[in-house]
Amino acid sequence: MAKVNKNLTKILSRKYSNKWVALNPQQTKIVGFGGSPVKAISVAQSNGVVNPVLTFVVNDYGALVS
Amino acid sequence: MKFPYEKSILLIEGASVLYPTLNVGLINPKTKKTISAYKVLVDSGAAGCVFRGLIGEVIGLDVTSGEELPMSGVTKGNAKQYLHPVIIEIGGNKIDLVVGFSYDLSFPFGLLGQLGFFEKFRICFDQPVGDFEITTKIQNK
Repeated sequence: MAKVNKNLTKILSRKYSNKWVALNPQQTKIVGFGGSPVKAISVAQSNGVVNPVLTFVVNDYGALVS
Repeated sequence: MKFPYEKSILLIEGASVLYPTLNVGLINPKTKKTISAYKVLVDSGAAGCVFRGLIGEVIGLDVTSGEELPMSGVTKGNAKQYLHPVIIEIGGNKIDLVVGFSYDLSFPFGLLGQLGFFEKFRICFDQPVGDFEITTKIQNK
């Protein structure tokens, strides 16, 4: 099984704030993004990644201390 | 099932925190539409399980048709969630779960909380070692 990257801090950068992103299964790169998960999946699949990992990138992580 | 903590988000520039996050599959039990991997946080402080509303739409749910409940804590002001039965897949195990889908969630990941999730699994967090273990307490499908 391919090794999965567990450090996402550089991948989920502010460049993608308020966007849905699709990562490759190894979580090493963003293979699609957009304003909705459907768009992110669509772009990922057009890039050859059938089963991407979906997540959302928020604008301000500083408020997420709960 | 052991999962490593992930360095998932930045709190401030240059600093980050390890979180017990993992990828779950999501299945609409009626339509069988699926999402192969959605990143969620195993959150012992969350009352229940909450995913973003748009994720529900991907698997064909009419999100706002679900039972409406108020929600607070990880949202902007007063918020709503809509409950729907779904199937989640974790490490090859399929689990029936009622999830609140919300368009008001301010947290980036879905949340797996006490109701529905922690009551079905034994969960051991070992942050110093860098992993957490989820042990199935109910029979797999």
